[in-house]
Amino acid sequence: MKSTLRYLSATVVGAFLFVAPFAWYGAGAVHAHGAAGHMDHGPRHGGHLLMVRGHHVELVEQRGQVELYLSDGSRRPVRPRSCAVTLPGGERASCRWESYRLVVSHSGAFAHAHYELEAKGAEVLRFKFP
Amino acid sequence: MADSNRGGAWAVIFALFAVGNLANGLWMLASPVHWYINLPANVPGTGPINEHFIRDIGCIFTLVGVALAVAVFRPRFRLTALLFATGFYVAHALVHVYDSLRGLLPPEQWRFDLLPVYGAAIVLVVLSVLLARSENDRRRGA
Repeated sequence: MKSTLRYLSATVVGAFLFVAPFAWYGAGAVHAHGAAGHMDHGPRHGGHLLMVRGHHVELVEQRGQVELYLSDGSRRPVRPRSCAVTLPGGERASCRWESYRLVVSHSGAFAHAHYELEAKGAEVLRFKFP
Repeated sequence: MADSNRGGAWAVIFALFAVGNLANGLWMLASPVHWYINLPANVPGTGPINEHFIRDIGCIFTLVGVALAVAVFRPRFRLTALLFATGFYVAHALVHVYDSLRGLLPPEQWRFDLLPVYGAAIVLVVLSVLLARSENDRRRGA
């Protein structure tokens, strides 16, 4: 009986310690932080942050290209299903996905470029470069 | 290899704790972006993704996991492995206290950290004391 209790206690303690590393950033805290995420409009990569249909879009122009960070209301990165960038003259810029951001390349300037991204659930996000 | 603790209740604790650390650490090392997005927690709420830093932290989780896993089969190594893990968890908890006090972490962070960060650190300190006493008793008896 004593031995069974000892193993039971060890399993409970072990299970708690098993979960601990995964819960360091607040397990189940996603929804609780969701509201805070929506209110968090600060750029995280030194660019311009826009709110488009509940998504955070941060545009960073550097090294002759635009890096676009798309995240949901809780600032979780979102990979768009498609991307189209049209420059004021009607020219198209190319988009490519790199790890967790979209990289848009074009030889000219990006001022007033129009972006069209397809997010989750076929939601289309349209915005232009500030 | 005549350690009497083998297969005991301590092994259960070490095994479960090892698997948790190894799984988390290897996940961080193998796919930092996947870990950042898919961990059922609020990692994005703590700041932008940094793949390099995630891999850095993955190293320590993996090492702690390996030490604990070795200790499952090598009881004489258990106290050392547990102190190693406890040191990491306590240091991390102190960082959370510091960052919460200075406002880097949001006020509600105390509530989320209570069990996984502070609770785990306290449990590990208690376990270290219990294991150290047990080792001491065993040495005296030997």
